[in-house]
Amino acid sequence: MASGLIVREQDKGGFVEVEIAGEVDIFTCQELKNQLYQYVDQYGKDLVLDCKSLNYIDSTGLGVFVAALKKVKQIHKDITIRNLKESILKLFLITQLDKLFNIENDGSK
Amino acid sequence: MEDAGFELVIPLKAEYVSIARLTVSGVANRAGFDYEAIEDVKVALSEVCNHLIGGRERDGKADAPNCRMRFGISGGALTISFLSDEGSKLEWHAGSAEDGEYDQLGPSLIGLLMDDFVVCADGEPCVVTMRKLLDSPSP
Repeated sequence: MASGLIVREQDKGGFVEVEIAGEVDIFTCQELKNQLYQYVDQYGKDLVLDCKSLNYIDSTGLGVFVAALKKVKQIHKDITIRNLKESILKLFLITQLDKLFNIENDGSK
Repeated sequence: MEDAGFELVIPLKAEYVSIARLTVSGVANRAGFDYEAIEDVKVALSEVCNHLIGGRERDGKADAPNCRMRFGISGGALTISFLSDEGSKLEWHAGSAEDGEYDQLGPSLIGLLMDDFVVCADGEPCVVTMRKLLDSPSP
């Protein structure tokens, strides 16, 4: 069964931009976790997660974001999340995970 | 739209949760929910599936029994009940002290996104049931 998740990275010099497209759920979250961990190990830079094409996420995906943040903090780097859809931003707000991450939507937090 | 309800039966496996989401999206749309409320219901339904799947994994159960989801629209609300299928018994695991910091994130989201969420008593056919009102305030 197709996973419905696409993860692509691009080294931007000072940071690595990771485009996350599709759906992150219980079926796809491990794939996302593996990719993010690999980027942290491979590049050792800040990650910017571009979520403009992320259509769905639930607690399994939010858990992956938190796990990736913990991993990147171990090397004193950070994660910024950009371009969240309103419905997904709402999940960050009601769970208060917005306090944990740098969230930039339309250039502002 | 008022109806007598219908059921979707899926294997309780990770790869089938998206199919249940598609179904509830259509049901909620027909019932008249707006985009934001439909997204709420999709997440809540997925969280129930995630919790049921995760509970079986923690119990070391490798099989994937069927899960019946019963959708009903009446009285200005969408009700979704999760039931064990014939020959299997699904269980809702309450949180425990051994849970990690974010293990209860899913059940918390259900409570935040739905108007009612009830764990059914032992002996009842349902495992859990939840309800979203058409005029529900946004969380």
